Amino acid sequence: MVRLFSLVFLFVFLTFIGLAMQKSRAGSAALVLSGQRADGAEIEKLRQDLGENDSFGRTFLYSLKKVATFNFGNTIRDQPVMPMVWQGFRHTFVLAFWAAIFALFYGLFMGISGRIYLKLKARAMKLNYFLLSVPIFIVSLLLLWVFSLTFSVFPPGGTAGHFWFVLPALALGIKSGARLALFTDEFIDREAKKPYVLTARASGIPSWKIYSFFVVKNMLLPLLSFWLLEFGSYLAGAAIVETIFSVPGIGSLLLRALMQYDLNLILGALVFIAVLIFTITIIQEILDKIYAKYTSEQAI
Amino acid sequence: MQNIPLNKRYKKQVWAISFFGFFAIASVFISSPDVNASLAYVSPYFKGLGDFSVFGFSPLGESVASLLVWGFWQTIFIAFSGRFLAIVLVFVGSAAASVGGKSAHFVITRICEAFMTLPSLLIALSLGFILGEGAYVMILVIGISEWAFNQKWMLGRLHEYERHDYIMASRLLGAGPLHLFFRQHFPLMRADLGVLFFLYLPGSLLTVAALEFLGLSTGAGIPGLGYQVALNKDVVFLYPHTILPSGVLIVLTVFVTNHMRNKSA
Repeated sequence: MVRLFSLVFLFVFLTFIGLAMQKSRAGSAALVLSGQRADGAEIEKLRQDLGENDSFGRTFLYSLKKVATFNFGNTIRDQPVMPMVWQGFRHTFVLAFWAAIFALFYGLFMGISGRIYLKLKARAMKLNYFLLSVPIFIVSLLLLWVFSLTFSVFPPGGTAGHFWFVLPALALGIKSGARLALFTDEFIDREAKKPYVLTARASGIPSWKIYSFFVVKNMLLPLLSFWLLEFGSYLAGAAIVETIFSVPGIGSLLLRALMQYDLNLILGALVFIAVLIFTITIIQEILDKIYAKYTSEQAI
Repeated sequence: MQNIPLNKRYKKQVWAISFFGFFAIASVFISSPDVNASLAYVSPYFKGLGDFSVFGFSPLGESVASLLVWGFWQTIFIAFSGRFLAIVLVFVGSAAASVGGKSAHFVITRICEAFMTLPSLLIALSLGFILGEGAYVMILVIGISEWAFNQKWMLGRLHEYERHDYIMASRLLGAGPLHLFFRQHFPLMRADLGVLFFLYLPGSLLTVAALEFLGLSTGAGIPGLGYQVALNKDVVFLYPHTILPSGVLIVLTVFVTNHMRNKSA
Protein backbone atom coordinates (compact mmCIF):
# COMPACT_ATOMS: atom_id res chain seq x y z
CA MET A 1 0.00 0.00 0.00
CA VAL A 2 2.84 2.37 0.92
CA ARG A 3 4.54 1.43 -2.35
CA LEU A 4 1.40 2.25 -4.34
CA PHE A 5 1.10 5.56 -2.53
CA SER A 6 4.77 6.25 -3.29
CA LEU A 7 4.19 5.55 -6.99
CA VAL A 8 1.17 7.90 -7.16
CA PHE A 9 3.10 10.54 -5.23
CA LEU A 10 6.03 10.09 -7.60
CA PHE A 11 3.80 10.70 -10.66
CA VAL A 12 2.23 13.85 -9.16
CA PHE A 13 5.60 15.12 -7.92
CA LEU A 14 7.40 14.59 -11.24
CA THR A 15 4.59 16.20 -13.22
CA PHE A 16 4.44 19.20 -10.91
CA ILE A 17 8.21 19.74 -10.79
CA GLY A 18 8.63 19.21 -14.54
CA LEU A 19 5.82 21.58 -15.37
CA ALA A 20 6.76 24.26 -12.83
CA MET A 21 10.31 24.34 -14.13
CA GLN A 22 9.21 24.35 -17.76
CA LYS A 23 6.79 27.26 -17.15
CA SER A 24 9.48 29.32 -15.41
CA ARG A 25 12.06 28.85 -18.18
CA ALA A 26 13.18 31.78 -20.28
CA GLY A 27 12.72 30.21 -23.74
CA SER A 28 9.92 28.16 -25.24
CA ALA A 29 9.32 25.32 -27.69
CA ALA A 30 7.62 27.79 -30.05
CA LEU A 31 10.83 29.84 -30.29
CA VAL A 32 12.84 26.67 -31.01
CA LEU A 33 10.44 25.59 -33.76
CA SER A 34 9.89 28.95 -35.41
CA GLY A 35 13.54 29.82 -35.99
CA GLN A 36 15.16 33.25 -36.32
CA ARG A 37 13.09 34.57 -39.23
CA ALA A 38 9.66 34.07 -37.66
CA ASP A 39 7.62 37.13 -36.74
CA GLY A 40 5.65 37.72 -33.54
CA ALA A 41 2.29 36.57 -34.93
CA GLU A 42 3.77 33.33 -36.19
CA ILE A 43 5.39 32.61 -32.79
CA GLU A 44 2.14 33.43 -30.99
CA LYS A 45 0.21 31.03 -33.24
CA LEU A 46 2.74 28.29 -32.51
CA ARG A 47 2.51 28.97 -28.77
CA GLN A 48 -1.27 28.62 -29.05
CA ASP A 49 -0.98 25.35 -30.98
CA LEU A 50 1.53 23.90 -28.52
CA GLY A 51 -0.63 24.90 -25.55
CA GLU A 52 2.04 27.15 -24.05
CA ASN A 53 -0.50 29.88 -23.31
CA ASP A 54 -2.68 27.55 -21.19
CA SER A 55 -2.91 28.19 -17.46
CA PHE A 56 -0.68 26.23 -15.06
CA GLY A 57 -3.59 24.35 -13.52
CA ARG A 58 -5.01 23.26 -16.86
CA THR A 59 -1.61 22.12 -18.17
CA PHE A 60 -0.90 20.33 -14.88
CA LEU A 61 -4.15 18.32 -15.00
CA TYR A 62 -3.64 17.55 -18.69
CA SER A 63 -0.03 16.41 -18.04
CA LEU A 64 -1.12 14.35 -15.03
CA LYS A 65 -3.62 12.53 -17.24
CA LYS A 66 -0.84 11.81 -19.74
CA VAL A 67 1.42 10.47 -16.98
CA ALA A 68 -1.35 8.33 -15.44
CA THR A 69 -2.29 6.77 -18.79
CA PHE A 70 1.34 6.55 -19.96
CA ASN A 71 0.25 8.25 -23.16
CA PHE A 72 2.46 11.31 -23.59
CA GLY A 73 1.11 12.36 -26.96
CA ASN A 74 3.45 13.82 -29.55
CA THR A 75 6.71 15.77 -29.42
CA ILE A 76 6.92 19.36 -30.60
CA ARG A 77 7.91 17.95 -34.01
CA ASP A 78 4.75 15.83 -34.07
CA GLN A 79 6.36 12.45 -33.46
CA PRO A 80 4.79 10.05 -30.94
CA VAL A 81 6.69 10.17 -27.61
CA MET A 82 6.40 6.62 -26.30
CA PRO A 83 7.89 4.82 -29.37
CA MET A 84 10.81 7.27 -29.22
CA VAL A 85 11.32 6.58 -25.50
CA TRP A 86 11.11 2.82 -26.07
CA GLN A 87 13.61 2.98 -28.92
CA GLY A 88 15.96 5.11 -26.80
CA PHE A 89 15.60 2.67 -23.93
CA ARG A 90 16.42 -0.27 -26.24
CA HIS A 91 19.76 1.31 -27.13
CA THR A 92 20.48 2.27 -23.53
CA PHE A 93 19.58 -1.25 -22.38
CA VAL A 94 22.01 -2.84 -24.88
CA LEU A 95 24.67 -0.39 -23.72
CA ALA A 96 23.94 -1.07 -20.03
CA PHE A 97 23.90 -4.83 -20.68
CA TRP A 98 27.37 -4.88 -22.24
CA ALA A 99 28.65 -2.46 -19.60
CA ALA A 100 27.36 -4.83 -16.90
CA ILE A 101 29.02 -7.84 -18.59
CA PHE A 102 32.33 -5.97 -18.77
CA ALA A 103 31.96 -4.80 -15.16
CA LEU A 104 31.20 -8.36 -14.07
CA PHE A 105 34.31 -9.82 -15.68
CA TYR A 106 36.57 -6.99 -14.56
CA GLY A 107 35.15 -6.87 -11.02
CA LEU A 108 35.31 -10.60 -10.40
CA PHE A 109 38.73 -10.96 -12.01
CA MET A 110 40.26 -8.09 -10.02
CA GLY A 111 38.52 -9.08 -6.78
CA ILE A 112 39.47 -12.76 -6.97
CA SER A 113 43.01 -12.33 -8.35
CA GLY A 114 43.70 -9.78 -5.58
CA ARG A 115 42.86 -12.50 -3.05
CA ILE A 116 44.88 -15.22 -4.77
CA TYR A 117 48.00 -13.13 -5.37
CA LEU A 118 48.12 -11.13 -2.16
CA LYS A 119 51.10 -9.09 -3.40
CA LEU A 120 48.86 -7.70 -6.15
CA LYS A 121 45.98 -6.87 -3.82
CA ALA A 122 47.18 -3.45 -2.65
CA ARG A 123 47.96 -2.37 -6.20
CA ALA A 124 44.67 -3.70 -7.54
CA MET A 125 42.76 -1.80 -4.85
CA LYS A 126 44.69 1.39 -5.60
CA LEU A 127 43.89 0.98 -9.28
CA ASN A 128 40.21 0.56 -8.46
CA TYR A 129 40.18 3.65 -6.25
CA PHE A 130 41.90 5.53 -9.06
CA LEU A 131 39.32 4.35 -11.61
CA LEU A 132 36.54 5.55 -9.32
CA SER A 133 38.12 9.02 -9.45
CA VAL A 134 38.13 9.23 -13.25
CA PRO A 135 35.10 10.97 -14.79
CA ILE A 136 33.24 8.93 -17.42
CA PHE A 137 33.74 11.58 -20.10
CA ILE A 138 37.53 11.48 -19.68
CA VAL A 139 37.50 7.67 -20.02
CA SER A 140 35.25 7.96 -23.07
CA LEU A 141 37.44 10.55 -24.79
CA LEU A 142 40.63 8.60 -24.04
CA LEU A 143 39.10 5.35 -25.36
CA LEU A 144 37.94 7.20 -28.45
CA TRP A 145 41.41 8.67 -28.96
CA VAL A 146 43.34 5.41 -28.46
CA PHE A 147 41.09 2.68 -29.90
CA SER A 148 39.28 4.60 -32.58
CA LEU A 149 41.60 7.36 -33.73
CA THR A 150 45.09 5.93 -33.15
CA PHE A 151 44.61 2.19 -33.73
CA SER A 152 41.26 2.25 -35.61
CA VAL A 153 40.14 -0.94 -33.85
CA PHE A 154 36.61 0.14 -32.93
CA PRO A 155 34.16 2.56 -34.61
CA PRO A 156 33.90 6.01 -32.99
CA GLY A 157 30.13 5.91 -32.55
CA GLY A 158 26.77 4.73 -33.78
CA THR A 159 24.57 1.69 -33.23
CA ALA A 160 24.99 -0.45 -36.37
CA GLY A 161 25.62 -3.63 -34.34
CA HIS A 162 26.79 -4.99 -31.00
CA PHE A 163 30.42 -4.40 -32.04
CA TRP A 164 29.68 -0.66 -32.09
CA PHE A 165 28.77 -0.75 -28.41
CA VAL A 166 32.21 -1.99 -27.28
CA LEU A 167 33.81 1.40 -26.56
CA PRO A 168 30.72 3.00 -24.97
CA ALA A 169 30.19 -0.13 -22.83
CA LEU A 170 33.84 -0.07 -21.71
CA ALA A 171 33.52 3.61 -20.76
CA LEU A 172 30.26 3.03 -18.92
CA GLY A 173 31.29 -0.19 -17.21
CA ILE A 174 34.75 0.67 -15.96
CA LYS A 175 33.60 2.48 -12.81
CA SER A 176 31.00 -0.12 -12.07
CA GLY A 177 33.71 -2.78 -12.52
CA ALA A 178 35.97 -0.99 -10.03
CA ARG A 179 33.11 -0.82 -7.52
CA LEU A 180 32.36 -4.51 -8.08
CA ALA A 181 36.04 -5.39 -7.54
CA LEU A 182 35.98 -3.61 -4.17
CA PHE A 183 32.68 -5.33 -3.34
CA THR A 184 34.07 -8.77 -4.34
CA ASP A 185 37.17 -8.21 -2.23
CA GLU A 186 35.03 -7.27 0.77
CA PHE A 187 32.71 -10.25 0.25
CA ILE A 188 35.57 -12.76 -0.09
CA ASP A 189 37.19 -11.25 2.98
CA ARG A 190 34.03 -12.03 4.97
CA GLU A 191 33.50 -15.49 3.46
CA ALA A 192 37.16 -16.55 3.87
CA LYS A 193 36.63 -17.11 7.60
CA LYS A 194 33.57 -19.35 7.14
CA PRO A 195 33.81 -23.12 7.78
CA TYR A 196 33.12 -24.22 4.19
CA VAL A 197 36.09 -22.19 2.90
CA LEU A 198 38.36 -23.41 5.72
CA THR A 199 37.31 -27.02 5.04
CA ALA A 200 37.92 -26.63 1.31
CA ARG A 201 41.29 -25.09 2.04
CA ALA A 202 42.18 -27.92 4.43
CA SER A 203 41.17 -30.44 1.76
CA GLY A 204 43.86 -29.02 -0.49
CA ILE A 205 41.60 -27.39 -3.06
CA PRO A 206 43.52 -24.55 -4.74
CA SER A 207 42.56 -20.99 -3.75
CA TRP A 208 41.45 -19.95 -7.23
CA LYS A 209 38.97 -22.85 -7.33
CA ILE A 210 37.59 -22.02 -3.87
CA TYR A 211 37.08 -18.33 -4.67
CA SER A 212 35.97 -18.75 -8.30
CA PHE A 213 33.42 -21.52 -7.69
CA PHE A 214 32.44 -21.88 -4.02
CA VAL A 215 32.52 -18.25 -2.93
CA VAL A 216 31.20 -16.79 -6.19
CA LYS A 217 28.25 -19.21 -6.03
CA ASN A 218 27.31 -17.73 -2.66
CA MET A 219 27.83 -14.27 -4.05
CA LEU A 220 25.21 -14.59 -6.82
CA LEU A 221 22.26 -13.03 -4.97
CA PRO A 222 24.16 -10.01 -3.55
CA LEU A 223 25.77 -9.64 -6.98
CA LEU A 224 22.38 -9.45 -8.68
CA SER A 225 21.27 -6.96 -6.05
CA PHE A 226 24.45 -4.95 -6.66
CA TRP A 227 23.87 -4.95 -10.41
CA LEU A 228 20.29 -3.75 -9.98
CA LEU A 229 21.52 -0.91 -7.77
CA GLU A 230 24.11 -0.04 -10.41
CA PHE A 231 21.44 0.28 -13.09
CA GLY A 232 20.69 3.82 -11.92
CA SER A 233 24.32 4.81 -12.36
CA TYR A 234 24.29 3.24 -15.84
CA LEU A 235 21.34 5.44 -16.80
CA ALA A 236 23.10 8.55 -15.45
CA GLY A 237 26.40 7.65 -17.13
CA ALA A 238 24.56 6.83 -20.34
CA ALA A 239 23.60 10.50 -20.73
CA ILE A 240 27.33 11.34 -21.01
CA VAL A 241 28.51 8.28 -22.93
CA GLU A 242 25.65 8.46 -25.44
CA THR A 243 26.49 12.09 -26.19
CA ILE A 244 30.15 11.29 -26.88
CA PHE A 245 29.60 8.07 -28.87
CA SER A 246 26.48 9.29 -30.71
CA VAL A 247 24.23 6.55 -29.32
CA PRO A 248 20.55 7.56 -29.60
CA GLY A 249 19.67 6.26 -26.12
CA ILE A 250 17.33 7.57 -23.45
CA GLY A 251 20.01 9.83 -21.91
CA SER A 252 20.71 11.70 -25.13
CA LEU A 253 16.96 11.79 -25.82
CA LEU A 254 16.35 13.54 -22.49
CA LEU A 255 19.21 15.95 -23.18
CA ARG A 256 17.71 16.81 -26.58
CA ALA A 257 14.23 17.22 -25.09
CA LEU A 258 15.60 19.61 -22.46
CA MET A 259 17.38 21.69 -25.08
CA GLN A 260 14.25 21.89 -27.25
CA TYR A 261 11.80 22.66 -24.40
CA ASP A 262 9.81 19.56 -25.36
CA LEU A 263 7.62 19.04 -22.27
CA ASN A 264 5.95 15.83 -23.45
CA LEU A 265 9.28 14.21 -24.27
CA ILE A 266 10.85 15.44 -20.98
CA LEU A 267 7.93 13.99 -18.99
CA GLY A 268 7.94 10.77 -21.02
CA ALA A 269 11.67 10.15 -20.53
CA LEU A 270 11.70 11.15 -16.84
CA VAL A 271 8.60 9.12 -15.90
CA PHE A 272 9.90 6.11 -17.83
CA ILE A 273 13.26 6.24 -16.02
CA ALA A 274 11.56 6.81 -12.65
CA VAL A 275 9.17 3.87 -13.08
CA LEU A 276 12.06 1.68 -14.23
CA ILE A 277 14.18 2.51 -11.19
CA PHE A 278 11.14 2.23 -8.90
CA THR A 279 10.49 -1.33 -10.19
CA ILE A 280 14.16 -2.23 -9.94
CA THR A 281 14.27 -0.99 -6.33
CA ILE A 282 11.31 -3.22 -5.43
CA ILE A 283 12.96 -6.26 -7.08
CA GLN A 284 16.21 -5.45 -5.29
CA GLU A 285 14.44 -5.22 -1.93
CA ILE A 286 12.78 -8.62 -2.52
CA LEU A 287 16.18 -10.11 -3.43
CA ASP A 288 17.71 -8.64 -0.28
CA LYS A 289 14.95 -10.22 1.82
CA ILE A 290 15.53 -13.60 0.16
CA TYR A 291 19.27 -13.29 0.78
CA ALA A 292 18.74 -12.28 4.43
CA LYS A 293 16.45 -15.32 4.91
CA TYR A 294 18.98 -17.59 3.18
CA THR A 295 21.89 -16.38 5.32
CA SER A 296 19.85 -16.62 8.55
CA GLU A 297 18.85 -20.21 7.65
CA GLN A 298 22.51 -21.00 7.01
CA ALA A 299 23.45 -19.55 10.39
CA ILE A 300 20.89 -21.82 12.11
CA MET B 1 48.71 4.19 16.56
CA GLN B 2 51.40 5.69 18.80
CA ASN B 3 54.15 3.64 17.16
CA ILE B 4 53.41 5.04 13.71
CA PRO B 5 55.84 7.88 12.88
CA LEU B 6 54.26 11.29 12.39
CA ASN B 7 55.26 11.59 8.73
CA LYS B 8 53.45 8.32 7.94
CA ARG B 9 50.44 8.97 10.14
CA TYR B 10 49.63 12.25 8.41
CA LYS B 11 50.96 11.30 4.97
CA LYS B 12 47.58 11.60 3.21
CA GLN B 13 46.73 14.91 4.87
CA VAL B 14 50.13 16.32 3.91
CA TRP B 15 49.54 15.29 0.30
CA ALA B 16 46.06 16.83 0.28
CA ILE B 17 47.25 20.09 1.88
CA SER B 18 50.22 20.27 -0.52
CA PHE B 19 47.89 19.75 -3.47
CA PHE B 20 45.54 22.55 -2.49
CA GLY B 21 48.47 24.71 -1.30
CA PHE B 22 50.17 24.40 -4.67
CA PHE B 23 47.11 25.82 -6.41
CA ALA B 24 46.72 28.54 -3.78
CA ILE B 25 50.30 29.71 -4.39
CA ALA B 26 49.99 29.32 -8.17
CA SER B 27 46.86 31.50 -8.23
CA VAL B 28 48.88 34.31 -6.62
CA PHE B 29 51.45 34.27 -9.41
CA ILE B 30 49.28 33.35 -12.40
CA SER B 31 46.69 35.89 -13.45
CA SER B 32 43.15 34.75 -14.26
CA PRO B 33 42.46 34.04 -17.96
CA ASP B 34 40.28 36.34 -19.99
CA VAL B 35 38.26 33.86 -21.98
CA ASN B 36 36.77 35.15 -25.17
CA ALA B 37 35.00 32.44 -27.15
CA SER B 38 34.59 34.76 -30.14
CA LEU B 39 38.34 34.71 -30.79
CA ALA B 40 39.43 32.98 -33.98
CA TYR B 41 40.70 29.45 -33.60
CA VAL B 42 44.50 29.17 -33.27
CA SER B 43 46.68 26.12 -33.00
CA PRO B 44 47.52 25.05 -29.44
CA TYR B 45 51.18 25.29 -30.43
CA PHE B 46 50.77 28.98 -31.18
CA LYS B 47 52.92 31.17 -28.97
CA GLY B 48 52.61 34.64 -30.34
CA LEU B 49 50.86 36.46 -27.53
CA GLY B 50 54.06 37.68 -25.88
CA ASP B 51 53.31 35.64 -22.79
CA PHE B 52 55.01 32.55 -21.40
CA SER B 53 52.90 29.58 -20.43
CA VAL B 54 54.18 26.31 -18.98
CA PHE B 55 51.58 24.17 -20.79
CA GLY B 56 51.35 26.32 -23.92
CA PHE B 57 48.13 27.91 -25.16
CA SER B 58 44.57 26.69 -25.63
CA PRO B 59 42.94 26.66 -29.10
CA LEU B 60 41.45 30.05 -28.24
CA GLY B 61 44.80 31.53 -27.27
CA GLU B 62 44.58 31.55 -23.45
CA SER B 63 47.42 30.32 -21.26
CA VAL B 64 46.64 26.70 -20.33
CA ALA B 65 48.41 27.07 -16.94
CA SER B 66 46.18 30.02 -16.10
CA LEU B 67 43.05 28.16 -17.24
CA LEU B 68 44.02 25.16 -15.11
CA VAL B 69 44.74 27.08 -11.90
CA TRP B 70 41.64 29.29 -12.06
CA GLY B 71 39.42 26.57 -13.48
CA PHE B 72 40.47 24.39 -10.54
CA TRP B 73 39.28 26.99 -8.04
CA GLN B 74 36.07 27.53 -10.00
CA THR B 75 35.25 23.79 -9.90
CA ILE B 76 36.24 23.48 -6.23
CA PHE B 77 34.15 26.54 -5.30
CA ILE B 78 31.02 25.18 -6.98
CA ALA B 79 31.43 21.65 -5.59
CA PHE B 80 32.11 22.85 -2.02
CA SER B 81 29.25 25.37 -2.12
CA GLY B 82 26.89 22.77 -3.61
CA ARG B 83 27.80 20.31 -0.84
CA PHE B 84 27.32 23.02 1.75
CA LEU B 85 23.87 23.82 0.38
CA ALA B 86 22.96 20.10 0.40
CA ILE B 87 24.03 19.89 4.05
CA VAL B 88 21.99 22.99 4.94
CA LEU B 89 18.95 21.43 3.22
CA VAL B 90 19.55 18.19 5.11
CA PHE B 91 19.64 20.14 8.36
CA VAL B 92 16.37 21.92 7.53
CA GLY B 93 14.73 18.64 6.45
CA SER B 94 15.91 16.87 9.61
CA ALA B 95 14.63 19.71 11.79
CA ALA B 96 11.25 19.56 10.03
CA ALA B 97 11.07 15.76 10.38
CA SER B 98 12.12 15.89 14.01
CA VAL B 99 9.91 18.78 15.10
CA GLY B 100 6.96 18.14 12.77
CA GLY B 101 6.26 14.65 14.03
CA LYS B 102 5.31 11.51 12.13
CA SER B 103 3.37 13.21 9.32
CA ALA B 104 6.28 15.53 8.46
CA HIS B 105 8.65 12.57 8.62
CA PHE B 106 6.38 10.60 6.26
CA VAL B 107 6.12 13.43 3.72
CA ILE B 108 9.88 14.10 3.72
CA THR B 109 10.60 10.38 3.28
CA ARG B 110 8.22 10.19 0.31
CA ILE B 111 9.80 13.29 -1.29
CA CYS B 112 13.25 11.73 -0.81
CA GLU B 113 12.06 8.47 -2.38
CA ALA B 114 10.55 10.36 -5.32
CA PHE B 115 13.85 12.18 -5.88
CA MET B 116 15.80 8.95 -5.54
CA THR B 117 13.93 7.26 -8.37
CA LEU B 118 15.91 9.47 -10.73
CA PRO B 119 19.72 9.39 -10.90
CA SER B 120 21.10 12.57 -9.32
CA LEU B 121 22.99 13.51 -12.49
CA LEU B 122 19.76 13.46 -14.50
CA ILE B 123 18.00 15.59 -11.87
CA ALA B 124 20.92 18.03 -11.92
CA LEU B 125 20.94 18.08 -15.70
CA SER B 126 17.19 18.72 -15.94
CA LEU B 127 17.28 21.44 -13.28
CA GLY B 128 20.38 23.04 -14.79
CA PHE B 129 18.91 23.29 -18.28
CA ILE B 130 15.66 24.67 -16.90
CA LEU B 131 17.15 27.25 -14.52
CA GLY B 132 19.73 28.53 -17.02
CA GLU B 133 23.42 29.23 -16.70
CA GLY B 134 25.40 30.76 -13.84
CA ALA B 135 27.60 29.70 -10.95
CA TYR B 136 24.78 30.11 -8.42
CA VAL B 137 22.41 28.03 -10.53
CA MET B 138 25.06 25.29 -10.62
CA ILE B 139 25.43 25.43 -6.82
CA LEU B 140 21.65 25.22 -6.43
CA VAL B 141 21.47 22.31 -8.84
CA ILE B 142 24.21 20.36 -7.01
CA GLY B 143 22.62 21.07 -3.63
CA ILE B 144 19.12 19.97 -4.67
CA SER B 145 20.15 16.93 -6.70
CA GLU B 146 22.28 15.53 -3.86
CA TRP B 147 19.89 16.40 -1.07
CA ALA B 148 17.60 13.35 -1.28
CA PHE B 149 19.99 10.49 -0.49
CA ASN B 150 21.79 12.62 2.12
CA GLN B 151 18.43 13.35 3.75
CA LYS B 152 17.39 9.70 3.69
CA TRP B 153 20.65 8.77 5.42
CA MET B 154 20.17 11.47 8.04
CA LEU B 155 16.57 10.39 8.70
CA GLY B 156 17.93 6.92 9.44
CA ARG B 157 20.45 8.44 11.84
CA LEU B 158 17.68 10.42 13.57
CA HIS B 159 15.92 7.11 14.23
CA GLU B 160 19.12 5.80 15.80
CA TYR B 161 19.50 8.89 17.99
CA GLU B 162 16.00 8.27 19.32
CA ARG B 163 17.20 5.01 20.86
CA HIS B 164 19.75 6.75 23.11
CA ASP B 165 18.78 6.34 26.74
CA TYR B 166 19.22 9.99 27.68
CA ILE B 167 17.07 11.15 24.73
CA MET B 168 14.32 8.71 25.74
CA ALA B 169 14.65 9.98 29.31
CA SER B 170 14.32 13.63 28.31
CA ARG B 171 11.30 12.78 26.15
CA LEU B 172 9.70 11.01 29.12
CA LEU B 173 10.46 14.00 31.31
CA GLY B 174 8.41 16.13 28.95
CA ALA B 175 10.99 17.82 26.72
CA GLY B 176 9.38 19.41 23.65
CA PRO B 177 10.35 18.52 20.06
CA LEU B 178 12.25 21.80 19.56
CA HIS B 179 14.24 21.30 22.74
CA LEU B 180 14.96 17.69 21.78
CA PHE B 181 16.16 18.66 18.33
CA PHE B 182 18.40 21.56 19.25
CA ARG B 183 19.70 20.26 22.60
CA GLN B 184 19.87 16.49 22.02
CA HIS B 185 19.84 15.70 18.30
CA PHE B 186 21.84 18.59 16.90
CA PRO B 187 25.06 17.95 18.90
CA LEU B 188 25.00 14.36 17.58
CA MET B 189 24.13 15.52 14.06
CA ARG B 190 27.11 17.87 13.75
CA ALA B 191 29.67 15.09 13.39
CA ASP B 192 27.39 13.19 10.98
CA LEU B 193 26.87 16.28 8.84
CA GLY B 194 30.66 16.71 8.65
CA VAL B 195 31.11 13.12 7.51
CA LEU B 196 28.26 13.53 5.02
CA PHE B 197 29.90 16.65 3.60
CA PHE B 198 33.18 14.91 2.81
CA LEU B 199 31.62 11.54 1.94
CA TYR B 200 29.93 12.86 -1.19
CA LEU B 201 32.44 15.61 -2.04
CA PRO B 202 34.24 13.56 -4.74
CA GLY B 203 30.86 12.72 -6.25
CA SER B 204 29.95 16.42 -6.30
CA LEU B 205 33.20 17.26 -8.07
CA LEU B 206 32.47 14.61 -10.70
CA THR B 207 28.90 15.92 -11.09
CA VAL B 208 30.13 19.51 -11.55
CA ALA B 209 32.65 18.37 -14.17
CA ALA B 210 30.03 16.21 -15.93
CA LEU B 211 27.45 19.01 -15.99
CA GLU B 212 29.99 21.45 -17.39
CA PHE B 213 30.99 18.88 -19.96
CA LEU B 214 27.36 18.40 -21.03
CA GLY B 215 27.02 22.12 -21.69
CA LEU B 216 25.89 23.69 -18.43
CA SER B 217 28.10 26.72 -18.18
CA THR B 218 28.79 28.62 -14.98
CA GLY B 219 28.53 31.79 -17.04
CA ALA B 220 31.71 33.18 -15.48
CA GLY B 221 34.75 34.41 -17.40
CA ILE B 222 36.72 31.48 -16.03
CA PRO B 223 35.60 28.11 -17.36
CA GLY B 224 35.59 25.19 -14.91
CA LEU B 225 37.68 22.09 -15.60
CA GLY B 226 34.81 20.09 -17.11
CA TYR B 227 33.93 22.98 -19.42
CA GLN B 228 37.58 23.16 -20.56
CA VAL B 229 37.42 19.51 -21.60
CA ALA B 230 34.13 20.21 -23.39
CA LEU B 231 35.68 23.20 -25.22
CA ASN B 232 38.52 21.05 -26.50
CA LYS B 233 36.34 17.99 -27.17
CA ASP B 234 35.70 19.12 -30.74
CA VAL B 235 39.41 19.32 -31.55
CA VAL B 236 40.28 16.06 -29.80
CA PHE B 237 40.89 14.33 -33.14
CA LEU B 238 43.30 17.06 -34.26
CA TYR B 239 44.98 17.85 -30.94
CA PRO B 240 44.18 15.01 -28.53
CA HIS B 241 46.60 16.38 -25.91
CA THR B 242 44.45 19.49 -25.38
CA ILE B 243 42.05 17.60 -23.13
CA LEU B 244 44.84 16.04 -21.09
CA PRO B 245 45.83 18.86 -18.65
CA SER B 246 42.27 19.62 -17.50
CA GLY B 247 41.33 15.92 -17.60
CA VAL B 248 44.30 14.89 -15.47
CA LEU B 249 43.61 17.73 -13.02
CA ILE B 250 39.98 16.61 -12.54
CA VAL B 251 41.18 13.05 -11.83
CA LEU B 252 43.83 14.30 -9.36
CA THR B 253 41.36 16.56 -7.56
CA VAL B 254 38.80 13.78 -7.17
CA PHE B 255 41.55 11.38 -6.07
CA VAL B 256 42.78 13.80 -3.38
CA THR B 257 39.24 14.48 -2.11
CA ASN B 258 38.65 10.71 -2.04
CA HIS B 259 41.62 10.41 0.32
CA MET B 260 40.26 13.28 2.43
CA ARG B 261 36.92 11.49 2.54
CA ASN B 262 38.42 8.17 3.65
CA LYS B 263 40.25 9.93 6.46
CA SER B 264 37.17 11.89 7.58
CA ALA B 265 34.91 8.79 7.46
